[in-house]
Amino acid sequence: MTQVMVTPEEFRKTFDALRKELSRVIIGQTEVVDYLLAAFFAGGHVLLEGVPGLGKTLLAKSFAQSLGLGFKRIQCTPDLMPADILGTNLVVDREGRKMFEFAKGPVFTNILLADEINRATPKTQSALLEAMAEHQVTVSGTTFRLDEPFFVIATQNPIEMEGTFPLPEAQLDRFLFKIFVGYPSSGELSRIIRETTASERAHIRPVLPEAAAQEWIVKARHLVREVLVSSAIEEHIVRLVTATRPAEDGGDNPAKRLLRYGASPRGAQAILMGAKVLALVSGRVNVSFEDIERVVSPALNHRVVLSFEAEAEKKTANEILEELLSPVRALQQEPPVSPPPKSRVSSAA
Amino acid sequence: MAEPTAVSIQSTIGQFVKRYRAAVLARSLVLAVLSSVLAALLIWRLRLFNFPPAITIGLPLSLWLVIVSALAAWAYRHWLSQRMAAARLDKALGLQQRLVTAEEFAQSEKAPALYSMLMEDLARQCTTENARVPKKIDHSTGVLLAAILLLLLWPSLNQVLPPSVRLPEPPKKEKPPDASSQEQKQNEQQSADSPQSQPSSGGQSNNNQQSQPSGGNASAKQPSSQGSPQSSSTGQPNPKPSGAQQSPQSANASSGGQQKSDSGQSGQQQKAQAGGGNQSSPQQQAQSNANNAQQASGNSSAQQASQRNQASGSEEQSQKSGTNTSSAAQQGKQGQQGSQTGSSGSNYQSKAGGQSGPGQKQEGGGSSTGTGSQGVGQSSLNGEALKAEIQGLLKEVSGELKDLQQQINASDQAHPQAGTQTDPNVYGSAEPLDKTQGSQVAIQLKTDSAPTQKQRPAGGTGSASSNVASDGPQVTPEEAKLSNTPREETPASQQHVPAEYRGIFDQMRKQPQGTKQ
Repeated sequence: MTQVMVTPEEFRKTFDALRKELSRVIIGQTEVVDYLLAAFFAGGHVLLEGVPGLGKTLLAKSFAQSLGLGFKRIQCTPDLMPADILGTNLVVDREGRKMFEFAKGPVFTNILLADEINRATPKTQSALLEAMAEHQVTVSGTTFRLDEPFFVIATQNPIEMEGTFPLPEAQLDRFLFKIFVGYPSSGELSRIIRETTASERAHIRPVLPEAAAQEWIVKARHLVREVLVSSAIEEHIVRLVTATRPAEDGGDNPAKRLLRYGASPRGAQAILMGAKVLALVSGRVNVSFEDIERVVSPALNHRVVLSFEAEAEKKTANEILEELLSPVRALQQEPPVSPPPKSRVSSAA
Repeated sequence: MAEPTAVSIQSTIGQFVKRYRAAVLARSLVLAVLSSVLAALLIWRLRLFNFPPAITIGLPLSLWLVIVSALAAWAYRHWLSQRMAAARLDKALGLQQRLVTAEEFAQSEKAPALYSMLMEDLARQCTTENARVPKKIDHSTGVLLAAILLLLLWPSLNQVLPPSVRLPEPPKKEKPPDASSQEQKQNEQQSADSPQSQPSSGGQSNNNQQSQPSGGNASAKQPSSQGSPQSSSTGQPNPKPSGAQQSPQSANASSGGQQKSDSGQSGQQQKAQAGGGNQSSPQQQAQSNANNAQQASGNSSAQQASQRNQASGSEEQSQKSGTNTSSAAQQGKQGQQGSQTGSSGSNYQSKAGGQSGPGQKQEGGGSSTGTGSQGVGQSSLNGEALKAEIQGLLKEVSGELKDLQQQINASDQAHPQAGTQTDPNVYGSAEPLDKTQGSQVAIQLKTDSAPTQKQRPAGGTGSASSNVASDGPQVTPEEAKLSNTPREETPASQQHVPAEYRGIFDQMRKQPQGTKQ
């Protein structure tokens, strides 16, 4: 039995502290903050989508400050080059001779904010793929490992789509969650304008000590992977993901009419990892059906490709997922028929 | 507090499984027993209705089988396994998959890192006492009990019905042989004594059947016809019954007069009989008692019934003295029925009056003796009249029968052809069409072969000719020649020159062209 350095209770307390600290600067948007933290501790990346002025950049910056981690920001533009993100070799003069020296790009940080990523060219967007997936960068044949934890927060603007380069499905699939940032309520808006226009403004205080933050976060991520999952939960996740796939055998299912492509296995992984984090936050060491239900939407809404009929009907991905998954949710009450396997591996994904 | 182990969790789940299965079995047994009782009650109830065995036994048995099958399916479905019990407990206690996960990982070879923490968490929240198990008695048990109680308390067929629906009792058919033999002897004596005995063609049997009611009628009619001497003797001041008897008698117009005369004659005969002997006195006494009973009970329906029967009996006496014809046989049957009912009515009367004589118990043959005593008194003149009347009736009937037979024969004839109705001579025979002239065409018009008056070659009817019509446009040939009109037109020739300048223009034309500039 492997040793767990971070206890579930400690994790839950730290999570609550981070949530509370972020709420001092980010007014409202509690669900966005929860999903952001869940994706961070699940070891994934997040795509924030919302109109300008909702505090996406502030959220990412405050998030990094609360964790005591390094933060870098990239403003994506159409003329942004991959070298601008990854780094480039520079010719430097050292010791009387010229040599190439690799200058690290902004990707070499713990938390990277790629603002308006849909404005960057596909070539630049693909430069992030290796960094996001493997946490390493290869430049001129040399591979550089990125610091852990490495967390990418990408933002995109749903309006002003002219002159943009929509992210391809392959790159979208690498984000664990796609979180929609909506407008604040009236009360929240009042509080925003009151606090942000005052002479004194709230500042984020780091919850984790800067020296030990990285180590603690790595251990916390390890704890998340140790959370127990029953076979009923696994089968439920499989049913959910399978329900989003159009029938390939020529049969007819509701997804066939509304979707061109369904969720990939990464979608199932995203659901389970996010549910594990939420289970720990709820004070449990096992995943429940309620945890699954909370993360299905942000985990799958960017992994399905809508059909022409769905676009003509002006349906969103969340609406389609709600329509396809409601019958599956009704089956979660019955326990599985097949007996569980005798030998189980403790770590899941 | 000892840390919970996998064994304790397993034992906890096992205990819950046992409790649950026991509850399922108990409930199934209770419902099975109740359904068996219900089926038995159904069989018992259906037998009371004299249904065939297929329904009496088959229906309850099939119902029992359906209930038992449903119970077995329900019990099978709710027969919890270890895992199902864990899921049910987990859901019932709100453990959010803690118990299910613990049960699964308890069977794994290598315990996960967080398994101990899971067990600790379970120990704080898992108590199977709060978990529900199926109730032994529930709403389905109540439904079966209600059905059983309903079948038990339902009134059976053997119970006595309320008086409002009581049907009249059938007349008793008991015949004391002693009384009948005595009456027969009395009748024989009466017939031997009276010179105006009835014909021996069997009329006595009919008359015998008209014993008491006819006697009753006679006694009742006596007041109407003779000023009720018998009534005074027998104490029957009953104008109402007599009037009632007269009304049904008057309804039969054909035999009404004869009835009255016959009744009068029968009354005279009865007088003679009464004066001759006392052989009919017991009957007369019985009749008087019956009439008294009528007056005493005041049963108007019985009185009317008895009066009608008596009236019918009197009609039979007047109409049939001895011969039995077809119609008379029918009337005799009616009379028998009337006599029987009359005797029953008289029996009712006697019962109502509380008095009964030996004569009142006569029916059929027994009653015939009493009737024979009265039938002796009918005269031969009445018999002849009756014969004549009967013969007349027979003729009428035969005539009607002939008419009916003719109608039947006419209806059996073949239906006439359509369009001809019943009289084939309404329409004459169809005239054949004239043969057409000309070519073989179905319908040949006269215009087809008629010659045209105008010669119109290649037009209209008729045959085409090769002549070209003279009325058509004709082309006139002409020679080709040059036109006299100049190609160039002269402008001057088109302008009108005033008269005073014509001389000048002429001079200008005459000048040569060179000098014109």
